[in-house]
Amino acid sequence: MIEGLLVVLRWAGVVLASVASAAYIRGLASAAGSTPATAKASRFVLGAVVCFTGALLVRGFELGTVPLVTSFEALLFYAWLLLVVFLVLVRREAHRTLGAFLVPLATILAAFGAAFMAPPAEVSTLFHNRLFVLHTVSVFLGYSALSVAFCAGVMYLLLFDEIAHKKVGRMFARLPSLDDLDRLGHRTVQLGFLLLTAGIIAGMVWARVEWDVVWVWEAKGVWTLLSWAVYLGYLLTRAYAGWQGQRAAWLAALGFVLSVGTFLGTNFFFGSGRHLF
Amino acid sequence: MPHVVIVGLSHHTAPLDVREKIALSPGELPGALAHVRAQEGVREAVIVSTCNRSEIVAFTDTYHGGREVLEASLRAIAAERGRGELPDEFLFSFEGPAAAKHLFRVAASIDSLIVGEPQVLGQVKEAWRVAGEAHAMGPVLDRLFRHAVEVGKRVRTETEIGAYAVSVSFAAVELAKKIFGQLSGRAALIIGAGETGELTLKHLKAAGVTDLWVANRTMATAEALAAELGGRALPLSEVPAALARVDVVVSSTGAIEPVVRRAEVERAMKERKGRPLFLVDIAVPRDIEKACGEIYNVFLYDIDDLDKVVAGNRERREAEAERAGVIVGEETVRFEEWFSALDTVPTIVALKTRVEELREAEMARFHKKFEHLSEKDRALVEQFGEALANKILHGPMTQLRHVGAGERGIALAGALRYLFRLDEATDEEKSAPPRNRT
Repeated sequence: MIEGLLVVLRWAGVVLASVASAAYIRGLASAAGSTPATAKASRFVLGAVVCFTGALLVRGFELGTVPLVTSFEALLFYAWLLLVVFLVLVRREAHRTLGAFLVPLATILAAFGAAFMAPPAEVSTLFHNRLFVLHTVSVFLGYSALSVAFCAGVMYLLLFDEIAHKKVGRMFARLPSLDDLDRLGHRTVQLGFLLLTAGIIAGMVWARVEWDVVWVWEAKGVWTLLSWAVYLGYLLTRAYAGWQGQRAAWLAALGFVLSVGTFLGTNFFFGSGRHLF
Repeated sequence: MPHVVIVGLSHHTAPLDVREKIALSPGELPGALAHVRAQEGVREAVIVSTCNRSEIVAFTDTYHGGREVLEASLRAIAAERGRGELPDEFLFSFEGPAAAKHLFRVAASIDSLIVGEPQVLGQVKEAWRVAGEAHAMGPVLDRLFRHAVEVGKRVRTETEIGAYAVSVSFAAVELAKKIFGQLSGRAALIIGAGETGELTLKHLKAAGVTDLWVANRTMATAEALAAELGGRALPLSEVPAALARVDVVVSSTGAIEPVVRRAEVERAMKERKGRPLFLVDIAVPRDIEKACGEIYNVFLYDIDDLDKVVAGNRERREAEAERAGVIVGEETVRFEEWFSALDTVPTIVALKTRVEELREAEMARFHKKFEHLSEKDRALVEQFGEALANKILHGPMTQLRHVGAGERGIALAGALRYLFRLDEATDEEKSAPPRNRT
């Protein structure tokens, strides 16, 4: 009964998010840069958020902890966060075109999560630890901020390409300014880096408590450390070498591929070690 | 049948010196409108007059008569104001659907000299308002102009006809906006004095740039221009230092040697800590070394680059004008539907009158034969006749109203007129004095 409700909620959310994605992409591709549907698409995003909130709350009560125990729950949680962040950002109209990048990303993640999410198994007492909650929630909050930075970076590069090569065209007419995109990228990297750092520290403390080790050397940890270093590099080069703009956008993209890419990669292809995901 | 007729001249048909002679000032419009309205067969009139076009839009009894009258009026208006002869080849005319389409194209700025320019919609609106105040307009042209303004707005929101800058100075400002976002709080520097440079700076100021600097070989020139633009003057020697402070540089000197060199920009960029710098070089020969564009976060556009952007934008506007043409086509059909619907109404009225006449005639004929009936029964027969007539009328009338506009409505109305001989005078009417028919 509850599982049935969960399936309905998850898929209803995915459908709503897909409709919104299509509207945003069509808006960006259309000659006018937006269609009447684009203006209303945020309502569909809101609908998707409501569905996912319901699904995640129910799962959370079932588990007795944050719904981040298996990777598919985590995917759904991550998609939910992205959509919430988008809803906050889209209140500024200049950020609407972000929807053509961020909402489809969230939709794909949510669809994956919804497709493979299984009923909860026995939950190890390990996951009732507050440190687990702190670790996972801050890492995912960080990921969502870094995903926005990634989208802003991609948009920056698309627009930069047109301006730098003097081929003023489609993106020029639609995207927000380079300055807007650069600042959005910078702020979200700052926030994401802070949260990622906090999440890693919480994870280290948790590992110390549970297994008496501070760092577990496994694929997940190594890749995470790498991406963390990239984001540190982003902040340092920006502050001291004047790397704003194009180079920053590339670093944000690289960091995202390393962190989120490895979150997906290590889980589904190498899945091993203490990190279930 | 009465028609909408347009007679006029525009940049497509007449040279500028003719257009500017004919152009009517706002003060002259009411007089000209009164003149046109006083002509035989002219029911309503509006005059659209700008430096690119002067057109009389009128609702007239017939097309040919209407066109001749309007051409004569336009000539008379020109002659009255001592503006000479108007040869035939300068004039164009449209009637019916073509006239509505033409006005819609004008309002949508498809017909403009610079496709997509925003002023013409306001001018059409103004012409509509003036004609309304002068009581020169009636329901048909009021509807037509309201519709034209709607078409103009629809085209501006649904296409990008006005979205791309088509002058060098505007293109530079658009680029600055896409690089810096909000321009308020930004600083701009102009080196040298040139028309395009000054224009660019004025546009930048209008777009929000607050901090304006003017540099020139002669300090007096710099000071004069700075005073005019509301900026501050700078000797040429201080330009390298200023590069660190400003965000946009517009250079248009007559110098042979470069005025801004790569090494200077590099030094400035170090000081700027990577903040982007937008260099606009509109001088020929160039003022800013081309290599400056290779420096990280420096965007350099020379006059060729800007010309290319403008050319691309012109093409884009042309493409958008085609899409706007589709909208104009749709709206013309809509207007025509409304316009022809005007015509089924008289048919409905005529049909009703005809059936009523027949009923009354038959009742009169049987009057004697019904004498033996009681008062009550005679009333019943009367009611029966009315009910039958109404039942017969109900079908065609509702159907005709339902079909209303368009070719089918006209065809059906024509059939009714033919079958019920609505266009032939009845016996009583033949003997009665002629009535005015529409």
